[in-house]
Amino acid sequence: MTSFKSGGKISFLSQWQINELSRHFTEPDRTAMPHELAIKLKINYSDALTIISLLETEGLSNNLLLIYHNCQEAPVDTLPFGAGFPNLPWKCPNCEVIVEDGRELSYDLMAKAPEPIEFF
Amino acid sequence: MLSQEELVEQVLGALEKLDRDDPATDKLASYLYVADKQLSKFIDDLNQTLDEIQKGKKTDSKIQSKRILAGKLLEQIAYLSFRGLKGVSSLKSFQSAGPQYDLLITGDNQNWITICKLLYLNTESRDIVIEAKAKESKIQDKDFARLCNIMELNLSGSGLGVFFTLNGATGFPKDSSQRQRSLRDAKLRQVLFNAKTGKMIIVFDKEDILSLAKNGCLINLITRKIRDLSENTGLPLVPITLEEVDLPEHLKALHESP
Repeated sequence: MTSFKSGGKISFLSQWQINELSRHFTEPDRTAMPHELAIKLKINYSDALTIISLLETEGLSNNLLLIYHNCQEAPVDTLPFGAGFPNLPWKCPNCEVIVEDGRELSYDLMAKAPEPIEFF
Repeated sequence: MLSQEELVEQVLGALEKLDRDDPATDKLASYLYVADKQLSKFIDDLNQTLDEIQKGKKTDSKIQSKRILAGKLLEQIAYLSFRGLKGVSSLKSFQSAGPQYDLLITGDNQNWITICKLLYLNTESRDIVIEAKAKESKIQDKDFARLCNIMELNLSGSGLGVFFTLNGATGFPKDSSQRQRSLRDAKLRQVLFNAKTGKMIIVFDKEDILSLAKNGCLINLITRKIRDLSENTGLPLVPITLEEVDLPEHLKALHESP
């Protein structure tokens, strides 16, 4: 079990929301996507994004940028969080089409926490 | 799933919640620079032009036109790279009553205020002045002095000056094996100007310019140069793709151990 001492960094969360976060990360190898946390904690997407960004910089999660192409519903590729968007032209590893127009791509972020996390 | 534009908006929202000193801001900032698709072509053209200049005879009349072309390409690269920065709403290049400068970049929206926070700029000094110098030699103290003068007297709303160069500036550390413990030439001017006015001038060399075609790297590159201005490590910055480790031997051994 690892702990996240917010030190005011997530002061925008209520005690109930902090408890919900701890509950979400009770098991090892839990993942969290911003929209998932946003629904669970009743916060907006950008606040959830703040939380998963803090988790990675505290060394508690490994975050990924998920890349979606219009050839399938599941993500077709990932990039490490903080590496920016993929450079175009970009070859889709699923359908092997060369993407020239960024509007063909969509994105999301995902945090993977190897250890359970307790939030204070 | 979000479009690129939608995710950028969410990143800007997340950044507003974080202190600038929080390392999380650096990773989020990578999504605020999307390199222009034309940038790679212009960088390739610059490389090719520089090769031709190097191979040609100095007396050849075509070489002079190649040098002029290299200068224009460097200005175009500067323009395209800063155009890819989120929040930019104004890119200007003109000569009026004051001296000529290559490019003045600013924004007048909340997104630009967030970019200013990332670049350690005050909102009242939020303009960025760009000077492109395609000289084969390093840029000199007098080039620095000219930009200092423009930033202080003509463009008082500017807080950051960026030189686009091929070989850096005089007095800046080049040798990574030996720490430079003195300040001289253009490097001295950079430090004194910052101490006197709070304004910052940084220098991109050819290696930095080559990295600008990669999404995400411009803000990282600028902030590393600004931090080095205050830290004065006396060492050249490592390429942006590598981890920065500047430790004495007894600490480096700990860093390298698993």
